[in-house]
Amino acid sequence: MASGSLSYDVVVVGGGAAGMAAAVTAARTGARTALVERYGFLGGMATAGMVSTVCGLYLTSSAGPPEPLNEGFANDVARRLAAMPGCGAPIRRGRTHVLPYTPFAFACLADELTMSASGLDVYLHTILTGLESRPGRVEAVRVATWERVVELAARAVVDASGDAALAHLAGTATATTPLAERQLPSLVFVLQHVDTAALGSGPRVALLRSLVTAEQEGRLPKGAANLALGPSPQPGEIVCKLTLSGITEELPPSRDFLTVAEQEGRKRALAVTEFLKTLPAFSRAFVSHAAPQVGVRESRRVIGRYQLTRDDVLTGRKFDDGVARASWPIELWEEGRLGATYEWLDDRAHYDIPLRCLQARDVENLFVAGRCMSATHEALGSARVIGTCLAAGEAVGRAAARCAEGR
Amino acid sequence: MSTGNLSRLDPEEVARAVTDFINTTIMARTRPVRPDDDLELAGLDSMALLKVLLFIEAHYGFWMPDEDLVTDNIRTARAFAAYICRRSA
Ligand SMILES: Cc1cc2nc3c(=O)[nH]c(=O)nc-3n(C[C@H](O)[C@H](O)[C@H](O)COP(=O)(O)OP(=O)(O)OC[C@H]3O[C@@H](n4cnc5c(N)ncnc54)[C@H](O)[C@@H]3O)c2cc1C
Repeated sequence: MASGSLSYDVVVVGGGAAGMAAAVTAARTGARTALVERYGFLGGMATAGMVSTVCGLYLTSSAGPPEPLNEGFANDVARRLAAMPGCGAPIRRGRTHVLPYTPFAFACLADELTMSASGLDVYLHTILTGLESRPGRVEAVRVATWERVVELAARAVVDASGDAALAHLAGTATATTPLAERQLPSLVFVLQHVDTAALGSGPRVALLRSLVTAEQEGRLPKGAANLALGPSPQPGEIVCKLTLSGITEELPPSRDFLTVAEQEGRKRALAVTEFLKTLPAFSRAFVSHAAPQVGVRESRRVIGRYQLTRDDVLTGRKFDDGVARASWPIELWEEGRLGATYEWLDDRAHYDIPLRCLQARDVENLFVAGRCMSATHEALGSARVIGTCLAAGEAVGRAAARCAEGR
Repeated sequence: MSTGNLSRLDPEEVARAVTDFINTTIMARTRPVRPDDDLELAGLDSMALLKVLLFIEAHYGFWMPDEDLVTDNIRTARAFAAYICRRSA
């Protein structure tokens, strides 16, 4: 039973990159907006998952400087983030560029952006618990804040929970790829005091090979070698992404997948670190911090008015209702192989995210933003990156505000 | 799988085998990598380079020691091929 009720034009559930973009934009458009986030900070995977590079901001091009794909919110975030302490300029990765950042800077920037948007109320430490609806419409969402249970009435709602939590409660169509075929989660953790100068591409390959060998010989736990060593603007620091393969078998009802992933992730991270410390470049290294939650690449998503496909991505398809541009390759981290596979777009090609992928099929005032948007498993391997979440999130904020106005 | 007679390796053929491996198992289907493409600039990360190395070790049957894992030997498929042919000559 709710102990209070408040009224908004737009309620956004989930304060990751997509939800933040949607809420700030809706508020800037003049809509009375609420942003609901279960953690004590915004950013979602960008902060709680510590992914530490923003992908999807720049055009695919094999040479030359980074060229922004989207003006507006995404580009604004990119420029401001690059100027934050501990962050830096975009760096080349393969056939495009990525922007390295620190999770703390991202969370601080998210505070700045949301707190300076008038008409936006942010609810941190607040979890979605239920909703009120009538056929074809969500009327209100019920949330539990740190202090109270409250009902937030809304003219339009945005599901930016990453897990399609709101859409699921609303009973609209969703899809979840079976565990064995789903993208794998990864635990991100940071090592300090690494002799990074000694870790050029050759030594990195040698290091990864020694991990694979150690795993094969039983000196490391199963799956512990599936490691990626990310760049960091900080001297002596390495951002490690440990991809959690081999835990997708059927679990007993008492064992939740994400619980197992968290426990298994820490166990493997500890073992990998102990192993790395036997190598000269890591002799003084230690884990300074690990992500507050295992990074989830894929979970439940909405089946909206259109489902983006692999073909749309790779052929650079444009749509009449295109609202954001995307160009990141289809990047899949799957069971049964080390690392990821990539399918790149042609140089200078990009595809559109159509608004229909961001609209629930049969609930007129329900929008969806971010990695729970309407896309196939493969298409989502491209469209889920932070840059695309920011750009599409902005479009959803505008559309939700329009919907709330009754237009 | 080992090719048996290593001394008859043709660098062109080896480079093609390496790019074929990359284009079927790492860079799936589209945008094929060519023998002279810089592999990192083509989008291969360290783990992908390791997979190329493991393929070479399994296919040509020899171990590439850590000290040989230098940019000159692993920058392109052709560099890998030159190394393999040198080693097997
Ligand atoms: C290991 C890993 C590495 C990655 N690397 C990169 C990278 O280098 N670059 C890149 O651009 N992308 C990367 N990605 C992808 C990218 O980080 C995510 O897809 C993107 O950040 C998703 O943003 P989002 O806003 O859609 O969802 P999320 O970031 O998941 O945000 C959802 C938010 O909703 C909140 N929430 C969920 N349920 C509830 C509820 N019931 N009540 C209240 N709040 C709720 C969550 O706490 C969260 O803050 C990576 C992903 C992973 C997992």
